[in-house]
Amino acid sequence: MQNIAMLLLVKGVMIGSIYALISLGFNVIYRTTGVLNFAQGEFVMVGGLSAAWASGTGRVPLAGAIGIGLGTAAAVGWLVDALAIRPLRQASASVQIIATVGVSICLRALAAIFWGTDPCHLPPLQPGSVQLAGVAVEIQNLWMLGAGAVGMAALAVGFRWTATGRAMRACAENPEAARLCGVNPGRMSALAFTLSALLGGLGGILLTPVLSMSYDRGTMLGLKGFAAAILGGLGHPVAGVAGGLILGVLEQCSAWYSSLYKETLALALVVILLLLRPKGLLAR
Amino acid sequence: MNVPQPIPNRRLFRGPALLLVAILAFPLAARGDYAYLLPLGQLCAIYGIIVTGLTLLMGFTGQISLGHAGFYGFGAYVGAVAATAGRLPVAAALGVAVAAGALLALAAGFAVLRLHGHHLALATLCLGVILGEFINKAQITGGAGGMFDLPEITLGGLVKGSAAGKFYLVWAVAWLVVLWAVQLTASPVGRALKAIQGDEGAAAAAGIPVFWIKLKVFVISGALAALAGTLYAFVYTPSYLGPEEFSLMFSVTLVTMAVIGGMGNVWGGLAGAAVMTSLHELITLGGEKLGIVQVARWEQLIFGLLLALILIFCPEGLMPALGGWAQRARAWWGRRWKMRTRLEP
Amino acid sequence: MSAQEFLVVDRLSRDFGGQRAVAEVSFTLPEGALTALIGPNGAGKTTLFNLVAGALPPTSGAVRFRGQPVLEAAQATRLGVARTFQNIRLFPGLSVLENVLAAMGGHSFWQGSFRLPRRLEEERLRLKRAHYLLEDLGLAHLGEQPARTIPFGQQRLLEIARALALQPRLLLLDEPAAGLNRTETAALAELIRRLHGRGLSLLLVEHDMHLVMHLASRVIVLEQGRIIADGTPAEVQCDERVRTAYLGPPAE
Ligand SMILES: Nc1ncnc2c1ncn2[C@@H]1O[C@H](COP(=O)(O)OP(=O)(O)OP(=O)(O)O)[C@@H](O)[C@H]1O
Ligand SMILES: [Mg+2]
Repeated sequence: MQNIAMLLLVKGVMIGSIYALISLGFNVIYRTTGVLNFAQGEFVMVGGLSAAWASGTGRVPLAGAIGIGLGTAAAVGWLVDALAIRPLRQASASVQIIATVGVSICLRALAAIFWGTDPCHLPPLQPGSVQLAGVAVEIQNLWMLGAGAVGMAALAVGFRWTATGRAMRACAENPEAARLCGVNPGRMSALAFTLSALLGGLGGILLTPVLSMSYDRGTMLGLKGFAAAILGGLGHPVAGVAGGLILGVLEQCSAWYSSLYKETLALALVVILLLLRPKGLLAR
Repeated sequence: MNVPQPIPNRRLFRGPALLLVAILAFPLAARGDYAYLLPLGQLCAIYGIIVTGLTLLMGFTGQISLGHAGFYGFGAYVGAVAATAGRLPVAAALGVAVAAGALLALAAGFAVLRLHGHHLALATLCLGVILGEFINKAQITGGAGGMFDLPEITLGGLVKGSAAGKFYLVWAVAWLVVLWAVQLTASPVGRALKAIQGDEGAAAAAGIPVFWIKLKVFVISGALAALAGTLYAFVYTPSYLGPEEFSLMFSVTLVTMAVIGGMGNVWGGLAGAAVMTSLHELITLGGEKLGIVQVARWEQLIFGLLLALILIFCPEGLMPALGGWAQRARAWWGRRWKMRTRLEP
Repeated sequence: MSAQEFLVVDRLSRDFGGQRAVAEVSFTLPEGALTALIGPNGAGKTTLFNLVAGALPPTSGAVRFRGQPVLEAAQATRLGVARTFQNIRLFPGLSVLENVLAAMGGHSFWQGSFRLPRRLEEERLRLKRAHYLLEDLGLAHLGEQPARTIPFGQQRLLEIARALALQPRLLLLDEPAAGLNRTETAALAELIRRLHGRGLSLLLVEHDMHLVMHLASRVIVLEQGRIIADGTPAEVQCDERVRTAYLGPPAE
């Protein structure tokens, strides 16, 4: 029993770290531009699929494939901002959100055209498993956790202590005032989208060896990241990370209880949490 | 200064009257080679009903829902199960389904309408996914396989099997819904809804029972979605009812219809539904005409691109944009007219 | 119902987190009074207003208006309590006229569903009332404009018009003169006096001491959520604690 609890916890945290990465991407964009990016999950898919494709050609070593995955995701993020968000800077929030929906449809279609509709695989960064608190854990999972943690830490440091990070935060607080202080909101928005696509791509590359990846996986992953971000309280990146981990564990528990309705159970729990803490779990 | 007057009936009912004419005329035009447009028209009506509810909920009251495909599917399947396993006559099954949709919306709305903004979006999104997953996995709905050979609404043999008859049937319902929504939004209720959207606290201070009104609108929109679901099941495709229609993405598509058309009045939603429904057909048709092979592969891409383009060029929605163009055209004509009259004498 | 039971505030408290914004406040207002509520920034005046208007649930204590408990904002307006906000809160998407109309009821979905001649007649009546109300406050010429586009001073007036549309017995005004220039303030004072003259009871939060002393017959002073003085303007002005609260402790 204790072992099962441990297993669920460990697996939940592993998956949750991916959700945390996606929620972090949500928050980066939301805090900088006020846009709720519904194409976040597609960044994950693009990162995972392009890395899998590069490695699948057999001519690129794993490290190169990872680089290609990250690069493609980042480029896509930048393009999304340039093509869909920048022309709509003046539009209302709901229009911008729907625009990201349009983008996600396009990205999914492009992925299906380029990479087909079959699931793709990527070899793990490091095969094998270790014993952890009496539970066998694949080393790839540890990588997920570690890389996720490093990504988050780098982001936190960047946001707090670099001039660019401060400028991005200023944009979120008050774009008009930030502009008067010489911050260019357009550049910040491009940066936010690139960065957040990078985070999503990282999540995809880490996830693909465990669960494989296909063109339509992004939607559900994006939803999970969204749920994580909202659970923590939108605009609070650290709380969003916590939200991701909580969601991962909730999901593993509901999968253990009923594998058929695991989504239903996890999301029902999310709704209940929302109703109990309507301002976000960690909001004061 | 003159005391302002309410919108005269003539002006208010001009829209529904024009719509009625268009509905009556459409099947006459859609004949022969164009008969395939009739099922498309039915779908427009079905989506139009849902989006009208969404326009009331989002455009007027300012409450977002990303879960209405759930209510839509719920209505379809409750109706289907009531008519098959429950052995109810179709009309009764339809009533049961709409009532069930309203009840579900009542319970769900009672819980989630305390939330605001993004939190409400997430809660309704979860609701939609949960309902979708039930439809996809439960025994009674036939799961991913769907349900076959549902009874059909025939109105005593009047519309049996005829595409035009079905068209008139679904549009009769949609027209009544639109007629009702037009009156409601022109009444003090419409004002109260917009007041709630503007500022809930101030609305309460103006004597508007905010929560109850939000709940009523949510229930109405849920019931309308369920009604549309039954029409989909019993009229549009009685031979097969599958879960694909009611996915998470379709909730988003519904919201997209509302936003694209423009959410300021009932007509925007209807226009959005019509545009989004015919886009698919237009793309396929255009692809054939241009001789592009495998249009289907590109369809989603073109669809997404068109969506983005519409948003970029008409960020307020299509209807307001059309209104603006019409006004500009009229102004332009007016100038020409004035010039001519000045030159002539 | 005796005259004393018009508005009864009974040991009312409200906490925000650990902070007590209103602490055990009790007072009663007779019908027809024009009372001012003053106090330094953060004293809890707006919070007290929100409690009286039912916009916030109290942590403890109760508000009764004409013998009925105030429970919730919309219900309070039905009892006859209307209020304005410190930071103007109009309905930005509605026109000036519609802002007033929104407070005139008619929210039945059933009745709104059918445009019967009877309903149109009611709407005509509402439009007429709203129009004359706006005319009374000098806003009628702005009727069609979106509320967010009219000048600040007139937005303040419009908020008062919206509150008056509820036909209240008690009107709560939260700093109605804030941000107004001298002529506008004078016109506002005139309006308040006129409303009071028609038998409306008013409770007024205001920082403009001149206005307060001029208008009110009674002044309640709040500091850190407690009532520290309650009396005529002259009495309150001489009160040592009030001077301390406003100016700091007297220099040695
Ligand atoms: N919604 C809230 N959440 C947390 N604290 C609040 C809230 N509203 C008010 N407060 C706190 O309660 C105290 C009283 O605030 P209130 O607005 O009632 O003061 P006030 O007398 O109206 O001040 P002012 O003259 O500045 O308008 C303040 O310390 C304020 O910070
Ligand atoms: Mg105040």
